[in-house]
Amino acid sequence: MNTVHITDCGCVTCLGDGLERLWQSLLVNTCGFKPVRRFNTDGYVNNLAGCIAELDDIPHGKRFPAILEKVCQSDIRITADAVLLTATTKDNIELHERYIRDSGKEPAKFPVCSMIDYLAKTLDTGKLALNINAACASASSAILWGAEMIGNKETDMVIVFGADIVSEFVFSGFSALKVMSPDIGRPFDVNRNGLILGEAAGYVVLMSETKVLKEKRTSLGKIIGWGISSDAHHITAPDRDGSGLQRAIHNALMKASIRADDIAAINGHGTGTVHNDAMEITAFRKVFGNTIPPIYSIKGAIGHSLGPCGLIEVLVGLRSLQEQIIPPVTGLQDPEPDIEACVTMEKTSMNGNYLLTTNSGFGNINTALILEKV
Amino acid sequence: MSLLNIAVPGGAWITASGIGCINGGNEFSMPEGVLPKLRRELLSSKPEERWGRLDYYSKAGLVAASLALKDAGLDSRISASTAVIASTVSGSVDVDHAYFRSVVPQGGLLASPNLFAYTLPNCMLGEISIRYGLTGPTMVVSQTTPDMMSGILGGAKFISYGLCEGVIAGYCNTEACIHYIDTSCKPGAVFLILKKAEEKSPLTFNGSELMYNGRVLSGLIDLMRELTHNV
Repeated sequence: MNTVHITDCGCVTCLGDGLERLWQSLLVNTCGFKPVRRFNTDGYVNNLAGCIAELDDIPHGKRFPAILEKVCQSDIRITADAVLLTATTKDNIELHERYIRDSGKEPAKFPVCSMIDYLAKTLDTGKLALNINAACASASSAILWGAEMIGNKETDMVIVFGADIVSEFVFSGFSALKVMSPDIGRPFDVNRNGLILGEAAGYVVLMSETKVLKEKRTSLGKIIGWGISSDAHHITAPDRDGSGLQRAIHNALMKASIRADDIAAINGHGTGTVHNDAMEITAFRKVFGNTIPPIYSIKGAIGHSLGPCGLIEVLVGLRSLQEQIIPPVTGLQDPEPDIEACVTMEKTSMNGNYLLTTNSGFGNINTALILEKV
Repeated sequence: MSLLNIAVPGGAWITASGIGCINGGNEFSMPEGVLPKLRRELLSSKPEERWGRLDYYSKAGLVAASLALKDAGLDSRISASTAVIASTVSGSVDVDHAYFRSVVPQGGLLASPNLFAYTLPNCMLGEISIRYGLTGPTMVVSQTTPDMMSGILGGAKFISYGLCEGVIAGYCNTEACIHYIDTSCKPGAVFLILKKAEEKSPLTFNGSELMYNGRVLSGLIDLMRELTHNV
């Protein structure tokens, strides 16, 4: 198989534009949650979210293209042969909100995927453009798909884009499902009581080793392993024995041809909900036994951005490997006893070449990606 | 990649012209129009606890996939590692709209958690994987090409990548798909059971295109016509 490198990346989150600002904010435990301004939250269990302040002043219906525009302000270096894969759970859901609120109007024509339309035009690439929806594992599934395409020599370059915004549609839903925290997000904390939503957009450019060498690009890291598996259990709740996530991790380790004890750190999905975090801890315990590597989650800092979360976490994971630093778990106060030694409120140093990043989502799907330091 | 031989042991559809399956000798067509009402008995003679919760998109996907498995004789002995993939344009939009209608009247106080749970199009695939105990990959794909083939092509890719031995691959759109800018899309659910064929097969995959007897297929309707005419 062809080796899969990451040669370029970028993101926007509630902690600022670009990976550097996100990384530095994470290291000093900055939480990006603020009261939501773009819709009335009186009827919901919380009023906080990781919103990008600039988007609050953008008219309803225009925020999704605006977040894409923001991330496209980066100097994205791709060639015309790049395959575009996108990952969004609800695309421009505000168009549908408006359609329902203006119920007297004739049905509008909705775009199939406004993200593909925007990016194909802006980046001048649309070759085989495809949106992948696997709930909160959408971006990690798209990265996995892109890695397979390069690994199997179907193409030399894939750009994976992920984006979702904080909308009333999604905010009200998580509130109604009673998985939204009434205060803050506390991933892997014994007193965790739900997630806080966030919004984000980002991209990674995946490239074959052949093209990296030919174009003299700098590799930021490699994707060497990936796995994807369903729980076959429940639409919205994770399987408590973590078997689906275990399978995804085992498949990723096999693909990477490394052992579990080669993993130096884990970026967990770590939503801060009671059942997700418990399932992950169970799965990690079963895979790693009594030697679970350090675990962190960034959702206590930027919130759960849904579709793109796995992509943002790959970016942070790359940085973590480059700097050999594990970011703190923002929001954590009292760690779950079973992983007390593996999670921390302080940044810590790491020593190793491989990082595992995992995601799980509605529709009972789990993904695992293994990154390698270059 | 080398040419992948693909076996299609079964397949089924729900379109505006009715419900059919490949081995049942039914004629396939996919006209515009009203999709048939779906009864719980299409799935099972026993009570189905979850049936009442499902929107039409999820019911259509679940029924078409179940009939495809039955058509292949695999409904009670399918491999757990089987993957499920579907392409969609309208996805869960009907339930999206129903859900947001529950949000609007009282500032979200009456927002329905049961409806919200089905506002992700991949939850339909989750229903299939739960019903048959499938632990392989699942995902929904959307593409702006008019061939309605991205789910089937994705399934062939899953097999060629070695992510699974077999896949339930298809297409699922409700009548709401006419409200999308891609006007070539037709309402209906079509699912096929795809497996790697050990011997030479008329259906082959070259990594990006599906071919039947060496001819590149133009889309889903072309594929279904070949499969139903050559049973």
